[in-house]
Amino acid sequence: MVAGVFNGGALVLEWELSEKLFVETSFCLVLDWISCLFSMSVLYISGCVCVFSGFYLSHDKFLEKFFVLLKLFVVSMVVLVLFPSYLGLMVGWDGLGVISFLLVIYYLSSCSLSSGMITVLSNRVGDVCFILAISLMSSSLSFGMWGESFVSGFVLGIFLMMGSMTKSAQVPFSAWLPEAMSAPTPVSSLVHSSTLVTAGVYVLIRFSAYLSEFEMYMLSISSMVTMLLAGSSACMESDLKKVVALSTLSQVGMMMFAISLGANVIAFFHLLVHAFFKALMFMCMGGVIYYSGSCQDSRFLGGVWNKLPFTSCLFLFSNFSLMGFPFFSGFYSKELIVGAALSLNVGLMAVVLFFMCLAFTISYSFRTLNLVMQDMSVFSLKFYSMENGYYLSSLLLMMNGAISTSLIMQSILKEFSTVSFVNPSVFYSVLLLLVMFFFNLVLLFNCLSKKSFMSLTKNFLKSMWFLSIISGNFISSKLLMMISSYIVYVEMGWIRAFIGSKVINSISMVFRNKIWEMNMNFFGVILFVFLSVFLILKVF
Amino acid sequence: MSCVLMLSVSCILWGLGMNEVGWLIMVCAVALLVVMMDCPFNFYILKSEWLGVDEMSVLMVLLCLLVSMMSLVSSTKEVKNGFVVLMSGWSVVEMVMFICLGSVLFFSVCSWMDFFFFFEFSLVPTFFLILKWGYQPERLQAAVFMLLYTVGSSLPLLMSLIYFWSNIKSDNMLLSKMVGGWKDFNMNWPWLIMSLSFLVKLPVYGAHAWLPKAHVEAPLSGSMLLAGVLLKFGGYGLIRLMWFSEVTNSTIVLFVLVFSLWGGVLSSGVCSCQSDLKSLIAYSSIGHMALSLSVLLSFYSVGKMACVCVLYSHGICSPILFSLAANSYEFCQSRSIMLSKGISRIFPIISGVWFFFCILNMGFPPSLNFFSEVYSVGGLLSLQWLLGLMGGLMCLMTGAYCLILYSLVNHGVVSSMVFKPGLNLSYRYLVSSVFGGVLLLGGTLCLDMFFV
Repeated sequence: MVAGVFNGGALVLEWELSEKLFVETSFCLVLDWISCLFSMSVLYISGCVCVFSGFYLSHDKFLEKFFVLLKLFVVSMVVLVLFPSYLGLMVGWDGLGVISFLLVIYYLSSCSLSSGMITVLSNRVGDVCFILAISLMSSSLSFGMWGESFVSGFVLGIFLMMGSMTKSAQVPFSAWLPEAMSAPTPVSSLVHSSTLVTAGVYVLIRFSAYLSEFEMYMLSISSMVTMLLAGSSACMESDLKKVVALSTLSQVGMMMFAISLGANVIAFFHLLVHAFFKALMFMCMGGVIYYSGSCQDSRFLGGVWNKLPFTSCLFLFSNFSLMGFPFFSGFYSKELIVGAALSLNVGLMAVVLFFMCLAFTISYSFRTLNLVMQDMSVFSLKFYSMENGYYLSSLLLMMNGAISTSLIMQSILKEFSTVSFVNPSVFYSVLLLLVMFFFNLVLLFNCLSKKSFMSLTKNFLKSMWFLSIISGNFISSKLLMMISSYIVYVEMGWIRAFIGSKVINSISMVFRNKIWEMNMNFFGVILFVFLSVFLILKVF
Repeated sequence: MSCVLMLSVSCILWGLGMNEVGWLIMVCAVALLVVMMDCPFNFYILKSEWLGVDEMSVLMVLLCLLVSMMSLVSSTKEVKNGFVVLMSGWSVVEMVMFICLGSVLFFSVCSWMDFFFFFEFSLVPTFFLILKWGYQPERLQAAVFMLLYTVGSSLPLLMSLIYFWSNIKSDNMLLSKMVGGWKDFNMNWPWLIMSLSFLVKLPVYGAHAWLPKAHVEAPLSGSMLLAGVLLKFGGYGLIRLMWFSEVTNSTIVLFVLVFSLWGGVLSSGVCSCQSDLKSLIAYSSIGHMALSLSVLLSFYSVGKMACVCVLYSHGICSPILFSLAANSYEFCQSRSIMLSKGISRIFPIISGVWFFFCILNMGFPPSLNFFSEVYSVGGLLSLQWLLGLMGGLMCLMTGAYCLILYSLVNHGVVSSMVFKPGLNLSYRYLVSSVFGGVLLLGGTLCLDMFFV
């Protein structure tokens, strides 16, 4: 069977659930090379994360509960990967959203509750889009595309795309990903690097036949805006876990960009490779945070290079992978995406913005390395101990993720190596122009001394182009105030007080008395007797 | 068949003077179910001159029995602990079983007059339950409201049924339809007036004021039966009325559809801002019933199937949410969300069960709630794209308030009213929750039975 999967074969098992509904409600299990490879990497990474959480949460009282939640999460992800029919997908999709809520609110504080709520509500919007997609398909009585008219096929693609965009935190749904860093670090390294955010990418890879030209265009615009947003915000962010989250966001944007070009296999390759080195990056960060006494703010850290050498070495390597440094793990997949972007049909503006995003990646990676490793003598702890066996073994297991994963994958699977042809004169001239433009931009920001402009830029970039304030605070407070005033006026006012009390009371109490008065005096009784005698005589 | 019924009724009447007549009633109801069990899909069979079955009836009778069992298990405190408040020899068990018997008979009779009789009959034990075993002085007004709303709106139904009886000369459901007696009537406005009682019972948004009041003031078993069984009377009545009276899709029907759907969205929004746990779950009932009503009125076959499935899955999930809320009432003596919170640290299993039923309420696959919700939105979307979008909006708000409910009860610092020394928790709520959870999750594997 292994040979069959490598040669492109697949095993499909189908469970038919209902015969009465005219739509086919079935769960079908598909084992082809995509699902096998993805589930293998998910299971490997979650195993390492379990070992890591044995170290990170070793003092926690409810560790068994945490492990149960992690296992449930992994089960949902594997269900999502292995059951790509729409109904089976919803099992995994909903499960992922809901269990990630539980994992984010694991530390019982109010800020983790607010992060959990925005996470799960953004995911719920995606669920609703998927439910509407399933309903649309059930209204045309099939899950295939055979009977699609133009309008409903187009709308189906939009629902699918919006659902995947909420899960993978593209603009305008990006606010939840940095907020979800209130979760413990093992959760971040499993959920927010490799599994939850890549679920949307996986669904789009599987169902890319539903996307038409317009949706691909919207997807490419949105993914590029996401990459720019993430890259520019990460240059200003001081919380270390949020920087790593924003780097995840930009890489997922890159995967979505590749899908919007039509290069699905390359996006999948980048998905797998990114999962490995990002999990490694989160684990190193988790070690630094743990040994600094749960301090996540990089303004207090520094000098890790001397104190935690193994950790900082691996952090350096994973950052090099992220930047696409030659012959590290991330280089192969990133180079393929860049090649696809240059040789397929995108406009000049897209190429320019894409290279700007790559430049942003390099800049924030170097900034993070600088902040973490250089000894600023700010932090008071002079001595770190690295004797925990769980930590070392998990790092050792994930180590090859930064370096050799893509080499291994490319040598095993032929599909992951592609060739692209680029016109060299165009390429090098555009590259030179871009480098000079970026250099000018950096000089501008360094030499500018106008304080209001700088503070405005800082606020703009720090709150993710104001998206986190809009998505979180603004929408929820306005909505809840609207609902409360609705309750006061309509619900309690009209419905309960007016119809409930006044009308019903007056009908039952007041009118009853009046009617009794009107009818039950002398003439009323005589009239009543007369009428009833008359009716009885009429009937018989 | 009739002799089984005669035997059961005579046993009940004989046992009325004795102590444990409640359990006797339950045995008779189960006997009725067993007799009804074999019936094929989509046919309506008259088993005797009083009982008519099709698959939906069997499903509803099963629902009645399950909800009654769950409510009796969850309220054993009121039965056992010396808290028994006897009212001329009857206790909570008898009241619950009277409601159960009335409901089982309601779902199985086949003549319109008996149908109406049992429609109103089950209100009497509920009224007594609320009055005698409720906790607060506002229960008087709540019980009176319930009676006024439901009985007052069912008077037009009584008049129209008598009119049709005198016209068609028979009030057997199947016979009157087969004779073709309903065809001559233009069923637009008369349909609305006839179904007004069902619309108030399954509370459509404008006429829903009685439901939160009744839920808040009723004891636990009353709430469970009200949410689980009595609200389904309206849905069942509407389905039967539509089936036998051959009403067509017209402006009036569309008006009721849009009104109820938008009302469902509004009541799901209102849920997010409630301060009383039971009132929150009551408004969620209104939202679910609104979804089922609107997809029923779309006149698609998948609409009727999805409506029955929503009725069933809501009828199992909502009573269990009520029993969990009563659980938290037990240790804080308050239903307010400010005071009963933070139980995640001290009762982790109860917290897990709360989570499970909150996400089941919002439609978590692969449970029955998910399938019912998806096919409801599917039926609405097939009718008109805007209705489908409204359905999707309601799914979103349902998800929002379910998670708000979970985080209100479970998250955060333990409320100081909960953490009393010597606090013991009985496992009866867990037992009924596990039972309901197995039913809802396992229902996926036999979807054909629920999609009737």
